[in-house]
Amino acid sequence: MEAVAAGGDPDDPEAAARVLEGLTFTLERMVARNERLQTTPPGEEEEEDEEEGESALMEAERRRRRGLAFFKGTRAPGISVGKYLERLRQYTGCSAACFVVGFVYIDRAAHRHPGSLVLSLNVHRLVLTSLLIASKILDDSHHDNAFFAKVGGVSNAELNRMELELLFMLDFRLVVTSRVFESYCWHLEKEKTMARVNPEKGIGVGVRDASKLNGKVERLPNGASLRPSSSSPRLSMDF
Amino acid sequence: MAVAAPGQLNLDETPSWGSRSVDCFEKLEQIGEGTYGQVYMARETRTGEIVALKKIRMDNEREGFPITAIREIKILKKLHHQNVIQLKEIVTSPGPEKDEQGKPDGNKYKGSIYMVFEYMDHDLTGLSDRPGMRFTVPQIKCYMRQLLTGLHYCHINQVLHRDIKGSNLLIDNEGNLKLADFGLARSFSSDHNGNLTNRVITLWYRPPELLLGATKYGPAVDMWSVGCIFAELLHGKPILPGKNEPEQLSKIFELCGTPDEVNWPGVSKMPWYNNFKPSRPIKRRVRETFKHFDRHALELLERMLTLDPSQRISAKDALDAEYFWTDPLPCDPKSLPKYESSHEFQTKKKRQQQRQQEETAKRQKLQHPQPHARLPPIQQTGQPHPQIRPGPSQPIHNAPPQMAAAPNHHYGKPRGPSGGPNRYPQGGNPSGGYNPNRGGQGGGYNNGPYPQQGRGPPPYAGSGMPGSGGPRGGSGSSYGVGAPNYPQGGPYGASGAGRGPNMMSGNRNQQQYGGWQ
Repeated sequence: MEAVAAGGDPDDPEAAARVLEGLTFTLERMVARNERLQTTPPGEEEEEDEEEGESALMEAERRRRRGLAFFKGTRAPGISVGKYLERLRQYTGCSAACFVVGFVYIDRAAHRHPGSLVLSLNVHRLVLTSLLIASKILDDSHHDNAFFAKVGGVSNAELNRMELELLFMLDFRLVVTSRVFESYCWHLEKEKTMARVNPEKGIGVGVRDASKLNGKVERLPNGASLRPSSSSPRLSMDF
Repeated sequence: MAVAAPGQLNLDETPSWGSRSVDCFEKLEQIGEGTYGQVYMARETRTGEIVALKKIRMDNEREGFPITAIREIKILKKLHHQNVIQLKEIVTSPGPEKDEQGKPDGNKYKGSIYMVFEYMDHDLTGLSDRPGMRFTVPQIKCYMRQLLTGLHYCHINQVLHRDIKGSNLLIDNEGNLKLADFGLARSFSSDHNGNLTNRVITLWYRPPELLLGATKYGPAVDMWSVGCIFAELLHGKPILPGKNEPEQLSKIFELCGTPDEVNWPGVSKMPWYNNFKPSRPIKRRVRETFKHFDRHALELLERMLTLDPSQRISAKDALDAEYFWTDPLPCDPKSLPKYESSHEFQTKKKRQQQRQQEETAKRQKLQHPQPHARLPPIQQTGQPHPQIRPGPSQPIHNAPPQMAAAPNHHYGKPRGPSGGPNRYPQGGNPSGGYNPNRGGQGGGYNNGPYPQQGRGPPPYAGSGMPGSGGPRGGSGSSYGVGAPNYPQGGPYGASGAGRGPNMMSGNRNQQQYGGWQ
């Protein structure tokens, strides 16, 4: 079942704002936790997924080694996760449900491949790619990859590669039942409340303050596929 | 996890993903060409099993992974039923690849992705278009029951197929019928079914609520299509072959009568009702038109071709209809004849060329539409006929003549006007881009009288979204204009017409072959 139900009216800006807020806190907490984890000696967190079948072991190993490298930038982008989400919401017009389902995909990918940590270096690309897939699944009208790439600040080619990578990481298991959807909504809501009670917990990494963007997008830094900044999105599309 | 050194991305790394390689299969021959790439019949090297490999074309950079493929995979991953095509796995071809002639494939360096399906020999349209083919009544009941069973399964799993038509119903030589091509399918939830596109379902099989602009709809849309197929099987030819949306609606009204607040409460509030409001009421004539059908068939058909979607029969109730429980009963699929199928690509090519020649010849007599060549079923009234209905211990069908080397897979042939002898309405304007293909979705989506429907405020508001400009209620004339496919031009351009809700339908226009798309 598709997910719009619990998300309320997909065009309701308030619902979207609530979802985005919850999502921001959740992702930032996740990133903060993982960044701490990453400083622990490698190998410690790699004991987890032994229930995979024998044939899958080699692949799991390969995948683990690669992790979320496809989504990794060279340095953390200057735009906070919250601002980035807001930007995606503004220009793609994706419904709140898309953001929730996108988060489900990130969470699923991370769980399927426990070696893969959502970090400040990859969280933006993960958000962008998962939102793209969610919008293809959920919305009958959607923007193409080229548009998402522009809004997201990556090249079309890179976004296409990341899309494929995420699809295969998820083994194309893209169905989100309404029950699962609702539990994620609830989770996001809870994270938000917790962050309000314990603000220091909600603010993990130092990417929140980078509000220097003023609506202008900088490309996500990554070094490999950077194109001249002249190719950054034209503001004329920012109706 | 691996931490890439700064500046060092794994972008050049060949994706491995954990899927098997297409090298596990030996391609036997190309059996189709579809929306997103070629379809091959192939043998799994290890087990010898015959499968169909559907290549996913990845060459549209702007689009990325095709949305039809993404949805089809997602939905097929969750559906498992004997009347729904089984997606066995996804395989990749990381390396260079050669096409059938040994020439390097265009996608060679990009790698390719294939969906692996169980192999099916025919599709319903291809089968019924075989020269001399006549289905028996038990055979029709058998196919209809399987169609409804598969569809009921989809609906209880909250999947709308949204493209039910003969060429998407695959049939194997065991007589099994399976729903295929879920590229337009999507999930729905019964408590919130809003904002769905109404640009789905091949025109001839599209229900009135979609033609009237509904964006909230449910399983009933598929049931209308089933009704059209049912009648087509019994009647011997498509019953509502409209050339464009307005004509489709008027054909529906001529057959099913005009809708009003009595027979369809709420119809006058449908988005486009006023544009298509009939000038005079027309009486329903389903019974009259199909008076040669047997009583139970007619009863069932009436309930499928009900204008008001909320009163239309559901798949479940249709399965309980008298029709399936009265003599002659649906036959056992296994008792059906095994029709020879051929997928020899060259043969098909030859047939295609032949058809094209026929088509050219036909175009020259545009003004003289000819009767459909498909034969009505052998037995239409349900009355015993010694020749056609042998005793119960015998097979209840006439084995049709085996046609030598006659590929009856619809996927082998162009979907357009050449799809079958005299099968398709002749395009009034072959040079103008209108393509009265099986999809009937040729030309003019971007120009038509339909307002664009979409989610929320269109991001291109004010920049020429056709929703603000399309004249409503226009005649069909605009359908003859322009290329049917959504333009590849940038979405940032002034026209904006290529973006938005009709994209998927636009995609469909590219599809020329049925079955394995």
